[in-house]
Amino acid sequence: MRTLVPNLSLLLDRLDSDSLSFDLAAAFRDAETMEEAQERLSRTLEELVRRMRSEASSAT
Amino acid sequence: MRLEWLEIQGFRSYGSCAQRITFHPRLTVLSAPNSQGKSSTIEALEFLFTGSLERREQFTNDKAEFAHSLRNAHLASGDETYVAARLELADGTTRTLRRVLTSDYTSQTDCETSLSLDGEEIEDVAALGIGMEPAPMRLPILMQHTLRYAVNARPKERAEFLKSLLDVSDLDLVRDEIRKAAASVLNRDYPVLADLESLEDDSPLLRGLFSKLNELQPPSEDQVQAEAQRAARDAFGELAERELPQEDARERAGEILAALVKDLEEAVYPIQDLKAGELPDPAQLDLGEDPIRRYNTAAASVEEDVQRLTAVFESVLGLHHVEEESAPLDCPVCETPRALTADRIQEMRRQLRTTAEYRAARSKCEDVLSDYLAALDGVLCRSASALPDAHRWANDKIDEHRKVAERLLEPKVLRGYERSITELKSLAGKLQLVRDRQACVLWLLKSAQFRVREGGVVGLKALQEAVSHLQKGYMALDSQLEAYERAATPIREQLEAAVRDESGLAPYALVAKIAQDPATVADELRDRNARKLAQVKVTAALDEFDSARTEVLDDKFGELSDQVRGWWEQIRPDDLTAFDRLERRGRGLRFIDFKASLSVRPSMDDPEFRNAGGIFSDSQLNALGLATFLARWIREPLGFLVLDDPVLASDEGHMATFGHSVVSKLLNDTELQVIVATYSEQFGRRLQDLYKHLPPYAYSLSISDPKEGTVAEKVWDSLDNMLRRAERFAGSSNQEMRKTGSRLLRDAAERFCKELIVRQRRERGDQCSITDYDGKSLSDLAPKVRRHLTVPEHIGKFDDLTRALSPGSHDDQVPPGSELRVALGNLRRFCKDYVWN
Repeated sequence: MRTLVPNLSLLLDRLDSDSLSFDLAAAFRDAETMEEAQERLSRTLEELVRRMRSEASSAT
Repeated sequence: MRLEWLEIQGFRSYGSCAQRITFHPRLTVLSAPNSQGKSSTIEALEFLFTGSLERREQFTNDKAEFAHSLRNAHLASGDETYVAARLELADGTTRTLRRVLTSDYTSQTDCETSLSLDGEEIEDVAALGIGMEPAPMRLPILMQHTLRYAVNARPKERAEFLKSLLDVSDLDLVRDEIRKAAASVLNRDYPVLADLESLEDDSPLLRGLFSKLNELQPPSEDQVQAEAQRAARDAFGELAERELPQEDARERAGEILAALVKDLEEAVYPIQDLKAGELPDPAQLDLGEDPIRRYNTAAASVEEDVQRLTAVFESVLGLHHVEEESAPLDCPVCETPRALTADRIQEMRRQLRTTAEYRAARSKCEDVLSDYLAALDGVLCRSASALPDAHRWANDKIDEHRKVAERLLEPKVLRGYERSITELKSLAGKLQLVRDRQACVLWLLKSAQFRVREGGVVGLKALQEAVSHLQKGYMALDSQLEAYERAATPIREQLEAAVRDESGLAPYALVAKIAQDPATVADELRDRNARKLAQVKVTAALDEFDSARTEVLDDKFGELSDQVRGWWEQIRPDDLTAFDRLERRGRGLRFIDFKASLSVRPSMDDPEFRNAGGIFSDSQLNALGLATFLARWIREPLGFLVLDDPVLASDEGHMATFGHSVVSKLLNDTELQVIVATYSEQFGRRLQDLYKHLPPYAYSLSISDPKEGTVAEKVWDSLDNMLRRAERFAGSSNQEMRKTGSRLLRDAAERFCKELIVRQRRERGDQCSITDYDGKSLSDLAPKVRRHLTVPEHIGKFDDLTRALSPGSHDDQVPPGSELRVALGNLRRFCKDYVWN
C-alpha cells in the first residue's frame, strides 16, 4: 500500500520528537486515509487546547 | 514495469494493418529516417498511457493545429485507431493495456478515447500504479520537445517542476492540512464576548466591566459574577436613579436589572405581546373510544330482569349443597320442585359473570369520560394563553404601537409587521371556533355521563364526530399559530434591536445577562485565552515544520544535483564548461537555478560559476536536459525508459559517447528496460554492435506506401538483412526512396568491408572486432578491401560500386535505379565469395 506522505519520515527525523510540530506531523504517520489523519490532527489540537486551559488554571 | 510489445493501428503515420514491436527486456533500438514514423511510435506509447499528446497539451499555443492529427488521414472509415501494449508488472504478472481513439482532436475539443486493461474498461492507468503527475514529462519518455523543458521552462514552472520531481509536495499537503485543522479547531465564536467588544466603545460601564474581566487570567465563575453584579448595581443606579435595596444588592442585582431593562423596553414597545406560546399536544384531544364501546356492548346485553335477579342468583349459588349437587333440586327461594337443573345452574352462573363485566366496563367508561372532560378543559385553557397577548389589543392600542413600529422598523419589515397584526385577528377567530366546538363536545360528554349513570347506551357516533370536528379546528389553529410565529420572529428581533438601540439599553441588558449567567462568559474567556495560546504554539510549530521541510528539500536537491552531475559527466566527460549543481536562489523555493562551472583546466579546479541557462551552448543545454531526465527517472524508476533521439543530429559528435557510456551505465547500473529511437541507422547499428552480448532487438521503421503507413520490421543486423532492406528502396522510382536505398546500400557495403577486414585480420591471429572500425566510411575502408579481392575482375566492379555509393556523388543527384540494382548485385556476389563462404 502506498504511504500517504512518502517524505514524512525524512521530515520527522528533522523535528524534535517532544515538540508540537512533531506531534502534528506524526498525525499522518501510518494513517491510511486523509480522513484518518485529519481526525488525529483535530484530536492533537483539542488536546493542546485542553492543556492550555489546564496550564492557565494551575498558574493562578 | 516492462513493455513486452507495442501494437499500433491507424495512429498518426500507422496505417490499417496493425504493426507490433516486441521489446527486448533490456535494450531495443528503433531506427527510422525522418518522417518514417519514429515519433509516431513514441507518441503512441504516450497516447496509450495518457490519452493525449503532451506536445499539444503543454508545448503549443495553438491547439487547433492538432485538429484531426491522431487518426491516420488515409485510414478507411471503418478501421479502428488504437494502441495496445503488453506490460509485465513488478509482481511478475502481465496485463494488456489498450486505448482506442473514439473521437479525434478538433480545433475546439480534446480527443476522446476508451481505455481497457485485460478487456475491462478502466478510467486511467492509476490501476497500474502509474502516477500522472507532474505534467509535462509524466512518463519516462524523452522526446525532442521535452528534452530541454526543465532547463528552458520559466523560473516558476521550473521550480514547480523540480520540486515535484523531488516529491516534497506531500509535505506541502501536510502543512496545509495542519493549517486547516488549526483554523477549524482553534477558531471559535464567542457570542457574549463579541457583544461585549461591539458595545464597549460606547459604554463606559461595559468598558470597565470588560477591562476587569480581562484582568482575570483565567477568570473563575465567581469572579465574573462578582464583577458583573457590581456592574449591574451601578447600571441599576444609572437607569433607575436610585440604589438597590441592600438585601437585593449582592445576589439579585442582575435579575432586577434585567427586569428593569425589560420594563423600559416594553414601555417603548410591548414586544412580548407579539410572542406566541406553544399549543398543548393535540394528542391530548384523542378520545379513548374503546372503553365506551365496551361499555355500550355490555350495557346492551344486560337486561333489566337479569339485573333484578342477580341478587337471587347470588344467594342461590351461594348455597353449599346447590353448588355441589348434580341432580335436579327444588328451588330454595320459590320452592318449585326440581326447578334447579344443571343447565339452569350453569345459565345462572353465566348471567352473574356478564353482570360483573358490565360493572367493570361502566366504571372504566365513567373514568374515560371524566378524564377527557378534565383534559379538554386544560387544553382549551392553555390554548388561549398560547396566543400572543397582542390579539387582545384594542384598535387604539394597535394604532399607538404601529406609530412606534413605523419609526423603528425598516419599510420591508414593516409590511410584515402589518400582516402579522392582521393575522392576530384571524388567530382570535380560530380560537373562538375551537371554543365553540369544545362547548359542543362538553355538552355531549356530560350527556354521556348521565346516560352511563342511568345504565343507558352512550351515543358514541355523535361524540366521535364532535371530537373530530374539535380536533380539526385545533389543528387549524396550531398551523396558523406556527405560521404567525415564523413570520413574527424576525420582526420581534428587529424591534428588540431597534428598541435597545433607540433607548440605549443594550449595554445594560448585556450587563444583566452576564450577571445572571456568569458561567458562560467565564467559559468563553477561558476558552478564548486557551485557543489563543494554542494558536501561538501552532504558528511556532508551523515555522519549525517549514524549516524541517526546507532541510528535506535541500538534502534532496543535493542528491538530485549529484545525480544530474553524474549523468552529465557520462554525456559530456571532457567539457571544461560543466554542470555543477542545482541551487535555490535566495531563501525561498520560487527560483531554482542550474549552476555551471567554468574552468580552464581539465582538472576543473578553481572554476568560475554561472547560471547554465546563460552560458551553455544549445548542445550543452540538450545534454543538461538529458542528464536531468535520466536523473529523475533513475530516482523514481517506472521500469522502462524511452529516449527519442537523445542526441540531436546537430550533435552527432556526442553520439558515440552516448552509445558507449550512457547506455552502458543504464544497462549496467540499473535494471531499466531501455528503448532508444534514432534517425540514424548507423547509430542504431552501432548500438547493436556494442551490446551484441544481449543482443538488443532492433526495428526499422519505414513508409513505402502512405496508405499502408509505417511498417515496423525487425532488423537482424546481418549483412544479408542489410542487403534485403536496401533492396526494398533501391529499385524505387521515387527519388527520396531511392536516396534512402542508396544510403542503406552504402551502409551494407561498409559492413561488407568491415567484416572482410576483420575476417582477414583474425585469420592472421589479430584480436579485433567490427566496432574497431566505427566511424570509418566506405572510401576509408575500400583501399584495405581491394587487396583481399582475389578475382581480378572483382577489383573493377568493387571500385565502380564504391564510386556509385560514395557520399558526394549522390547527395544532390541520386543514382538511377538501374545503377543501384547493379551495385546491389555486385555486392551480393562479393558477400557470397568473400564473407559468407
